[in-house]
Amino acid sequence: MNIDGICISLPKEYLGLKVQLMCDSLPKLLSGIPLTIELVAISLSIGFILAMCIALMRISGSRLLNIVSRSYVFYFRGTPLLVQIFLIYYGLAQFDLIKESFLWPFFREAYWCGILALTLNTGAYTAEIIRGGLQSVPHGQIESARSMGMSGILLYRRVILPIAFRQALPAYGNEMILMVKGTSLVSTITLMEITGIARHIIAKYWTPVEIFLIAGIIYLFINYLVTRIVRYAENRYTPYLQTNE
Amino acid sequence: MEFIHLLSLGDQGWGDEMLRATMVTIMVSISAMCIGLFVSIFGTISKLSKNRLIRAIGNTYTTVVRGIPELLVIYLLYFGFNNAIMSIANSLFGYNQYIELPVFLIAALAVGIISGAYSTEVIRGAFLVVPRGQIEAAKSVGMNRFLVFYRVLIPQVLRYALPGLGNVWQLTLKDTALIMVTGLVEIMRQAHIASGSTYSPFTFYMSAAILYLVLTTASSKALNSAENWANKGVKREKA
Amino acid sequence: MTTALKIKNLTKSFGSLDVIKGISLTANQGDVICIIGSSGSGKSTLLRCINLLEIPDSGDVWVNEELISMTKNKAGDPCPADYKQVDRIRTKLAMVFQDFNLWTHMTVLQNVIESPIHVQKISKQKAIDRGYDLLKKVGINEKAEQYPSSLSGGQQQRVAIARALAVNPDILLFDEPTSSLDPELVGEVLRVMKSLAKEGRTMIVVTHEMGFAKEVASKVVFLHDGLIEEQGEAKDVFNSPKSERLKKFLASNLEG
Repeated sequence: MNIDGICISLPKEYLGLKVQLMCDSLPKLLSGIPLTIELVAISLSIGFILAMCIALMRISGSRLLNIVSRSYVFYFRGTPLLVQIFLIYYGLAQFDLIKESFLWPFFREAYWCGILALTLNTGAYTAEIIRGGLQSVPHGQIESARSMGMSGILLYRRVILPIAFRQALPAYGNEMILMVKGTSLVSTITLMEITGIARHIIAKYWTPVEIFLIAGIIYLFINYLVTRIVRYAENRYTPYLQTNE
Repeated sequence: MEFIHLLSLGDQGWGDEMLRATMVTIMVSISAMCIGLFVSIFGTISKLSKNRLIRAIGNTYTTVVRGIPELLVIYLLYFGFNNAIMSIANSLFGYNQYIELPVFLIAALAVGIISGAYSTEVIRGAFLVVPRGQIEAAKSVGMNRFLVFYRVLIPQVLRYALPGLGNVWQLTLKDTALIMVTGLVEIMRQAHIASGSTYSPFTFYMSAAILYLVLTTASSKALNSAENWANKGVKREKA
Repeated sequence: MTTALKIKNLTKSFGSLDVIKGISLTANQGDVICIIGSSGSGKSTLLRCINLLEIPDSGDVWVNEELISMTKNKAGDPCPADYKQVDRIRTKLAMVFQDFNLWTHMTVLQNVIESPIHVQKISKQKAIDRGYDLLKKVGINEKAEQYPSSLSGGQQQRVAIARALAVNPDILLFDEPTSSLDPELVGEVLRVMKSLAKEGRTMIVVTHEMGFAKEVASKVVFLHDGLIEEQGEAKDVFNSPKSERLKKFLASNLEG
């Protein structure tokens, strides 16, 4: 199948948009998807583990751990993702201490800086989602389990966590979509995911509206898939909550 | 320490520029939020409409704007508006010079359209949560549709919508950082300019972070008071 | 004497479920009609068709000998012909709901004066004075400045009754007014309702409180499956029920 062949058969311009160019750039933009998915997958996974740790720190009795976890969440939810990315990529390079340490090969790379920023960001938001999920478990359900003699880890494993998980599912689905959108910001530190490639093409051909339109449609499609996955999970784990929408 | 010198007010330091940029950020955020609320009125009406086509328009708006990265929306609207105005001017008046709309306007419009999509969802949700009984009681004492709407429905919708709208405000505030790509000198762009000039990126991006923290924290406190006022008639269930 | 309320051949279905299958009823001024029956018999729906919170599929409703004019909308479904008439008639037909439905964003007093001021255009001061009088009548005037959420169920329902009285209705409609209340609060609401009946108010009450019906009703209507199974004076219906279903219903609803 010859993409060029298909594209040439399209009109050069339609409604003021350079359709042929849009078609030509499609494969290039699609080649950014793997990196986008990679960034999302890694940051969501590590971020989730991080969020669990933060949640544990909050419910631990220790005052210090509580303050640390609350400050972390406060900082990363109170500042824009862009600032966090810039601070790690540009900001840390200001310090000779970092430049001479063994961590420098990591912080020098835009890729690792991007992953770090995305991970820390989603960690904070996910920690709040987990906290919300745990808090929203109805007291009655816990009390009835306790009254049957369940306690400790068993109580968490069989009653609290499953219910909390189901309560938090819609909010976490939303967070996943926000992460997909967040990856577009790492294009500002030279990473060639979808948005990065888009900006590169635009710099060459100066057709911002056309290229960003195609890029936007690609993101819409990815987010649509994420929404379907989340809805499938919701149906599977909380069938009793489903209404006919 | 050097950063005190860098951040000082006056000619030598960038402190006053950063503060001025903060004002710009606040202004853009407020404008965008207002534009968003205005748009969300139409969005909500559209999404609650019985007409399928009108509903589809509203749904398309919220789905598309919330499904595309904000950076792309801002780029699209920034270039799109300029191009659109230019082609209109060209075809209507034959004016084919380069036109550029004021950046503040475009920035506020772009963030406003994004903000509006989220506001629409919040207000629509609030509409659906108002208990039917409140409306029925109003009807049963003879209130016409106008009275029911203004005296019972709207106050209750606002009460339920307030926390969600507070969230949208925080979102809007943070999204204005992305405006830096349009060249408008708000906090991020100012930090970018300053760090390029002084080779101290950490100092300025950290200042930017702190400025945003101050703004979001102050907003949080204000919103808490507003929520307490709006809920004055209602006993809150302890979580 | 004018007929306060007349219903002729009312029918109503929800989808494929026929809830009311043809009911005719007349109420004279001063009548206290209690509608009883098991759940699903159509009692609440019947009441809500009177003030058009539900739109009947067919049949006619006269309030104070004024016919509520109906027509068909674009989709072919029945709907009121003149909404202004509906609003006007509703002020003559105030309703008290099972869930009270007090407006949570207004104080008790504001709840009571809302309709007089905005619908009937009475002056604010007059409405406030009347409001206090009515709240005193139902025994709750010391709570006038409080919000409904700080009141008990029985207190809220009494405020709801005061709110209904404030529009000076010709007929009071009660939709299971005590069904949501704790047993010990039922009494205070029934007391208010009894005193209203003694005053000669026209009342239509859907209720499960058989004792109340026995004591106060001028007519009792027993509904079954969307139709009037039996009706008559309270003593006849309760002491010598004719239909088998009514006998069964009374047996399972009266304590001893």
